[in-house]
Amino acid sequence: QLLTHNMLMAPGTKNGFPLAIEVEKMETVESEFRSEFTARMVQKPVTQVEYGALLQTLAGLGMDGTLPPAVPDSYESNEEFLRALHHVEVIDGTLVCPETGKRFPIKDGIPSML
Amino acid sequence: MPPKDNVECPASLLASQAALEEQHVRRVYDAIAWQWHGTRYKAWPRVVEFVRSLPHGSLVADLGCGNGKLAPACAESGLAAVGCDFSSELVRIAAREMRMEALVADCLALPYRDASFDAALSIAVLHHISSVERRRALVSETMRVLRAGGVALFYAWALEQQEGVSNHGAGGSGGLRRTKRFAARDVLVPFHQRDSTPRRSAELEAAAGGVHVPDKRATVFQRYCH
Repeated sequence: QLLTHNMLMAPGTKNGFPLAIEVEKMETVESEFRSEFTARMVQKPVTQVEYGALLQTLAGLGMDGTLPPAVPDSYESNEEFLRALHHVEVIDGTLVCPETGKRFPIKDGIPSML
Repeated sequence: MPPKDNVECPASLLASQAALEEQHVRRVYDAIAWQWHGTRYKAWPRVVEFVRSLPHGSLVADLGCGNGKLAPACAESGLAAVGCDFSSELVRIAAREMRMEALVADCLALPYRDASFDAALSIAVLHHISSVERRRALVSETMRVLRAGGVALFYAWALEQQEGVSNHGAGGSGGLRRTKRFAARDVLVPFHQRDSTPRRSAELEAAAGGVHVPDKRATVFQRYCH
């Protein structure tokens, strides 16, 4: 899930985050929405830094319109925004460490961070 | 972070400890994942009690999530759980069968930022780690990813377990049917994978050193336990 990305760091590094996301396959999934969880995840400042890159990726996949053009002001309580963010899932792709360039594959929605 | 090199534990020894866990923990679980999942689906009562005690909305790291059997309890308690495990086969089961947000990772070198979780679970993991240094490193890593005031539950087998008692909490059921008195501190515990088990992989079984025993109609794997 996209929101999990918020906590991820390349293991063994001090500042190996946020990991760049290279997407091969992405999905918006209908999953059980929990607004408190989503709000908690979104609170981490990392999300905002990556938002522009995320929009670009979605546009590249023809998925513009999934998310608003900017993070809304009071995003923690903006349920529509949280809902949209919550349902975005990377299925296949790669996470790249900004510090070392090390690449971590994502396959079938599961990242391998060894 | 991985354990530091010191005079008592040179790099070569640490490497052999990691290799022991690679061969007798990770590869074995990869080979037995489906039968494991079929027989270890019940979350232990004391662990569930701990999960239920966490505040609603807590971010929980299940470090060594295995087949994801704690996912339902976490969801019921309104928690956001992220699971990780060394065994990619078990992670696949956790993600698909138990609908857990899960990833493949090493509990000694976690892919999480400092202080990113409210709570952590380390259930039946410590006893698969082959040295004091590595066990200490696992505990420090767990603490690293917890925010100030966060809580962790470590739950593992002990040499001192009483014979015949499998005391997982109320009712005492769930877990091993037979509890042995272990002969030594570090042992290889056999796991019999039945011939009839579906979804077996000859490749994974060979990599894990499985030995077929025709009399028992099973392939035997040796799991490392401290």
